[in-house]
Amino acid sequence: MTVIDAPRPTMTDDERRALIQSAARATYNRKVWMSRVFMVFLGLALIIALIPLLSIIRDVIGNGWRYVNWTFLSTPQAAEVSMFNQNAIGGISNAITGTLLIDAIATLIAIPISILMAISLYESSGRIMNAVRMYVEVMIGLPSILVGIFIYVVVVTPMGYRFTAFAGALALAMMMIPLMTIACESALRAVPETLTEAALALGAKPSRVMLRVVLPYAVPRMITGIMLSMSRAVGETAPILFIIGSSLVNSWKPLQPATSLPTMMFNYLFNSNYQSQKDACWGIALILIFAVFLLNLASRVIVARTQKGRS
Amino acid sequence: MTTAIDASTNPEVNGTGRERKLSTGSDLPYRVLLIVTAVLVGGLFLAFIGSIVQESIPGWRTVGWTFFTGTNWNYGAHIYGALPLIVGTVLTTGLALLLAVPVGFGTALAIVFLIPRRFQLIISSIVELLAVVPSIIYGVWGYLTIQPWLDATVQPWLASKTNGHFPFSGLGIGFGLMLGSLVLAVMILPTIAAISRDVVAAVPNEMIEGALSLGATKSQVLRKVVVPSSRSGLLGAVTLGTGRALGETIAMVVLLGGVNQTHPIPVSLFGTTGTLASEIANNFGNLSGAAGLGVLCCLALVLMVIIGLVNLSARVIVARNLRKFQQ
Amino acid sequence: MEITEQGNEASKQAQQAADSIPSMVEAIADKGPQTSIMSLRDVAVTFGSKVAVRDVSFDVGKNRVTSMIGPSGSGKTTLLRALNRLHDLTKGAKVTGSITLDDTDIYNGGIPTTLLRSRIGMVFQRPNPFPTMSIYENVASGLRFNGVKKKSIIDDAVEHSLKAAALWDAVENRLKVAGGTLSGGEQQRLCIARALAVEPEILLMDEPTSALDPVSTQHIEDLMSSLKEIVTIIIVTHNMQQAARVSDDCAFLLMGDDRAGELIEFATTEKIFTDPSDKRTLDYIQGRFG
Ligand SMILES: Nc1ncnc2c1ncn2[C@@H]1O[C@H](COP(=O)(O)OP(=O)(O)OP(=O)(O)O)[C@@H](O)[C@H]1O
Ligand SMILES: [Mg+2]
Repeated sequence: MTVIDAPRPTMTDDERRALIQSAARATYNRKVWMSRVFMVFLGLALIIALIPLLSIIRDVIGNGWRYVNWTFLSTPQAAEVSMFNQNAIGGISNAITGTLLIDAIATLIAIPISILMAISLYESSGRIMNAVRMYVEVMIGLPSILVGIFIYVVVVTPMGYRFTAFAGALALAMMMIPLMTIACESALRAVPETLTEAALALGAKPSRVMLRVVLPYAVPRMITGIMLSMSRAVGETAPILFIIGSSLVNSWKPLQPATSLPTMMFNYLFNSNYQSQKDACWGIALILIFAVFLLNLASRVIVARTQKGRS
Repeated sequence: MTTAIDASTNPEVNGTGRERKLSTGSDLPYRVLLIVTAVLVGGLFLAFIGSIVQESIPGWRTVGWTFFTGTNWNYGAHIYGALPLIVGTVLTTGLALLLAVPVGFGTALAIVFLIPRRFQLIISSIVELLAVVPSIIYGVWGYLTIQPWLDATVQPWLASKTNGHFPFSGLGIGFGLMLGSLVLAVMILPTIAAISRDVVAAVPNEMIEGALSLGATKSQVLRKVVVPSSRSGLLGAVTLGTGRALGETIAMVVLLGGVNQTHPIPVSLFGTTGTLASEIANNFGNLSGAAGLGVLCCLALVLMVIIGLVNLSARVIVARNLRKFQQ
Repeated sequence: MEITEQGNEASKQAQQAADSIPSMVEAIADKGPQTSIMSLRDVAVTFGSKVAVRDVSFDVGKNRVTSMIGPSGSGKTTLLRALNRLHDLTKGAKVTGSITLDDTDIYNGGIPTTLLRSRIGMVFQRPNPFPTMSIYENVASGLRFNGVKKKSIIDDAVEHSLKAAALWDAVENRLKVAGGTLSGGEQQRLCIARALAVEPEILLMDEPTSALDPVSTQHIEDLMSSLKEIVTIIIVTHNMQQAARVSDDCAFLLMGDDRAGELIEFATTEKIFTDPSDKRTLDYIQGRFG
């Protein structure tokens, strides 16, 4: 900075004030005009963003609502669609069954692992654990199709190229673990230190403090994180598309092939020759969005409840 | 918004908040349990990357250097020049970012600083809901709503206005680079907007009032104070969006067109194309060729490296910013 | 801004009353004639239906330090923020009565808000330097907001105001370093310098030392007596010794029965602290209120 060397106009305080205030007055109009233009741009950005987003919502609801009926939900898809009766595509109960089965197994696998992992990140410090945490975070960002390849290689292939709901569940669990771990860890870190320090100072074992103090406090937030991770997994298509196969009947057997809502949607949209099946994607989309929405809403309600209880 | 979305950009999680060691107390079983978990999960993730590397080895033997130099890709015909796919990946993501970043930032600022408070909640809720909508649904929307529109209205109009010159040459069929980038932009827009909204809303009011008290206009406050002080977070939003776009698979499969065709390097927005991720998915169902799986794993590895580089550079930039202000 | 009939009437009366007092009396009481730069008449601030402060009328003497004291919640901050229209952004906030700067009403006298705020600077309770700007850029920021572009002017103003804030010697060699790296007291002086750089006529300070240690507090108190050569200061403080030490005039606010703040007494600091005319002022000074 060359402030000292700058040619210093020798000004009195009044001159200085006059100079700066006149500069402010001189640029006032331009400044206000620029500000308006900028705010108009922000408004435009908002409108541009809302057009496609509202269009999606409108299309999904507008085209999907007529599929939301008991027959569609409770019958499995037609084994074969006849050229002459293209609208007889059946329902989606086989996909609902598959989704529930796969997601339930995936969640059951992911929850204990994620919680333990979150606790171990929480209880430790130092370089190695920081590296592990960074590693977990990086896993969140990796494309889900890669997880599909991994499970194909280590599960589907050794089982003799058998496509199973279980393989899909493993893939989804792997997608969920990093998300859940990070969410559960921040839930643990949100526990006030005053609570833990007192107990630790009295000489309580860390495991007891964790079980008696930290976990009970953190559970609501952990549930929230778990539900959000589930809402992520419900719609995942790429990692399971090539490892779960397909099933035309409602099958609750983990070691059999399954159809899930996203893979059914993909096949109807992309591999079907019938417009009736493509159109049915709107119905499936609506049901899927509804599930995601419910999981998010429930998690928010839990957050709001616990915050109200604690403040 | 949610822990799930912003976990990777949340500074608190990375923080050095507490310094407790696993070694406190005589709590052996607990310690062992935690260490075993960490080792197992870490090992699982290592095995994940390791297995893809390992599976790609036969692929590399087959394709050699032509993988990076060959300008044609046709899996069915065993032509493995991945350059068009790399270009396709970078192009779709780049175009999507070009659209989604300014609109996303603008939306975030508008939600927090422009619109009346009573609309803020409803609009942020819409944005946040769409940030968690599965990508297959964006694929459905692109396929059933946008493709017919591009095909029947937009592309003929663009072609007639430009006489079919670059970048609107060739026959528009709706599917292709244009549709893919457009839907990709819409897909990452809510993510970018939702995180950016949280980031700019977290700028302390004292900063804003400080600037106002100096005679700043609203736009000066936003441009000179709010945006600069949230740039790490905004960068995090963009990084997350970039990662999603680079790895987006299913929507790209259904929107980019040209399945089972030769992919040259795209030269027109009307052209069909493929990305690394979409080609993996396209061909995973019917592996063929001596190193059928291996070649796809090579694609996977390249994709992983690209995403890794994006994340790394974001981290470097953030760290450099921090250092600059902590001298 | 709504000026009621009575408000206008009252303000006229107050003006007449002020005019009719022989200036000699003032001069004797205060060792020197005083011109007022800002006057408040029946000022009230309401948030929705809640009246935060009301019935405030006094004149702010030019190149003097005016302090506002009173218990927590008596509306000091609220009143101070009304003086540079910071309530404009708060939904439901309403300022009534009249506040004039050099005889122009600041709410409906046609002064644009941004120009008004460049003439009435503010220093906040907690130091708030812009975190992404260097020390230099922090001080220069107000000038840039107000359209000053010439580097020589900005360089000069940065140096001048850092000197005025008694910070120049400490930061001369590290102007490019981030403002947030300074100590708390230095940061507060940086914020003072930042406000001074715009050459405001009035500087509003809301408990500027409450977040600082005694030494830094001392620094800033010393600063104020030299600053009043160039700028009129209005300071809110909880610390009665501080008010006594630094201010020339003093306004005492207190909550009424309905929890709304009111001006109880305005006089020279000397009078407030030695011979207050209101019993409640005396009680407060002597520590009989919470
Ligand atoms: N934005 C607002 N909305 C509603 N009420 C407000 C708002 N700001 C202040 N108040 C109320 O106005 C009253 C005066 O508050 P103010 O902050 O001015 O007090 P103060 O004298 O500065 O107190 P302290 O000494 O604690 O700083 C308080 O009752 C407060 O709750
Ligand atoms: Mg206050």
